Amino acid sequence: MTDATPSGEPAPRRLLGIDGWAVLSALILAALVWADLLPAIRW
Amino acid sequence: MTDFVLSEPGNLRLPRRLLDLIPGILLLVAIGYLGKLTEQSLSAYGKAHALALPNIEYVLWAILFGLVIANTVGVPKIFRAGVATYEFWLKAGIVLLGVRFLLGDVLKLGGVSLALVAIELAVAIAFMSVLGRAFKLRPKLTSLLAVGSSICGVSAIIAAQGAIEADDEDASLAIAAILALGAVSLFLFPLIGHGLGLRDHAFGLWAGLAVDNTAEATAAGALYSDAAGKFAVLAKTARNATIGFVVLGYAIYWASQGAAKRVENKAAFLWQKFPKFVLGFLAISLLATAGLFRGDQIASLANLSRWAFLLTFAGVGLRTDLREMRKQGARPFIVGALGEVVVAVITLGLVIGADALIGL
Repeated sequence: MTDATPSGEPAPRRLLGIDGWAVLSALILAALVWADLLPAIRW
Repeated sequence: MTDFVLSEPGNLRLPRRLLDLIPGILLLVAIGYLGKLTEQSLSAYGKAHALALPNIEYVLWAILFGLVIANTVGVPKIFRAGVATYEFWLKAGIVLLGVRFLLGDVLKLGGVSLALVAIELAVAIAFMSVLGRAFKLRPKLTSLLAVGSSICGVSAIIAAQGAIEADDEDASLAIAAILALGAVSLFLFPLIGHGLGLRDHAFGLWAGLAVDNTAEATAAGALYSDAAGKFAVLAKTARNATIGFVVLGYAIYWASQGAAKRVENKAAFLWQKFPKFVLGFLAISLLATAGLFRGDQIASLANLSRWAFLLTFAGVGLRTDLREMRKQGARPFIVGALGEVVVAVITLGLVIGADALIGL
C-alpha cells in the first residue's frame, strides 16, 4: 500500500477499509449500549 | 461494482465523501423499512380479515423492492455511493451479531463449519477446474469461479484477482456469475430446506456453507428463520476466514506457472487477505460470554444487528442488475451453476451427516 505510483508520488494509504470501519462502528455502538447511552433499540 | 468509498483515497475531502453517501443510505433505509412495513401490514390485514395470507418475510420484500427498482428505473447516480455501503452494514451487523453467540458455541460450530468448509473447498475447486477445462474457459477465469463458489463470492474474487493477476474482464465475468447464482440460491435454498424439513441449525449451516456471498447467505438463512440466519452467518464467517489460504494457494500455483508475481512474505499475505470483521465478531462474542452485557443490552445489540442487515438486504436487491448479467454470456454461468449444484448437494449431505453424528 505504500508503493510509489508510476508518477513517483507515494500512493495514499488505505486507512481502515470497509472491515475496519465496520468493526470500529460496531464496537462503538456496543460501548454506547453497554454504557446505557443508547435507549433500548427495538426491532 | 462500485466500492464503498469512505476509506478510498480521492480528491474529495472526507466530509464531502460522507455527504455523498447520504442519499443512497437513505434509499437503503427506505426500502428496508418498506419491506418490514409490508410484512407487518400484510400479516395484520390477514389477521383482521381472517385470511390465510402467506407469511412473506421482510427479507424477501426488501430484496424484491430493490430488485424491481434496479431492473426497471435503475439506480440513479446520486444513490450509488450510498447503496455500495451495504457491505459495511453487513459487516457491522455480523460483528454485532457476535453478541448472540457464546464463545464456546462459536468455537464448536465454527470448528464443525471449518471442517466441512475444508471438504467443500477441495471438492468445489477440483470440480470447477474440471468443468472449466470441459467448457474451455480461460484458466484464470476458472480459478476465479472456483474461489468465488467455494469461499465467498465477490470479495474472494477481488482478493484473488489481484493475487493471480487475472484481467478485469475475467473478474467481472466471475463476479456476475457468482452474483446471479447467489440471487437464485437465495430463493431456492429456503424452499429446498422446507421441503426437506431441515432444522434451523442444519439449514443455517447449509446456507452458510453453500450460498455464495455473505449477504446472500445471511439473507437465505434469515428467510428460513431467525435462528437459521444466526447460524448461516456463523458458518459463512468461518468460510470467509479461509479466504487467505485459498487465495495464497492459487497465487503460489499461478506464480509457479510464471503467470503471476511470487508471494514473498506469506504471513503478511495471509493477514492482508484475512477478513478483519471476523475478529470483531469474535471480540463481541467474547465480551458477551464474559458477561459484560445485561440481558436487555444483548437484546438491543441483537436488534441493532437486525437493522444493519435490513439495509444489507435492500442493497442486495439494488445491486443485482439482471440486464447487466445477461450481457456476460452463458458459459461462465453454466460452469458456475453446475459447480454450485454440486457444492450444494455435497454440503447438504455433509450437514445432514454432521447433524446426525454430533447433533448441531
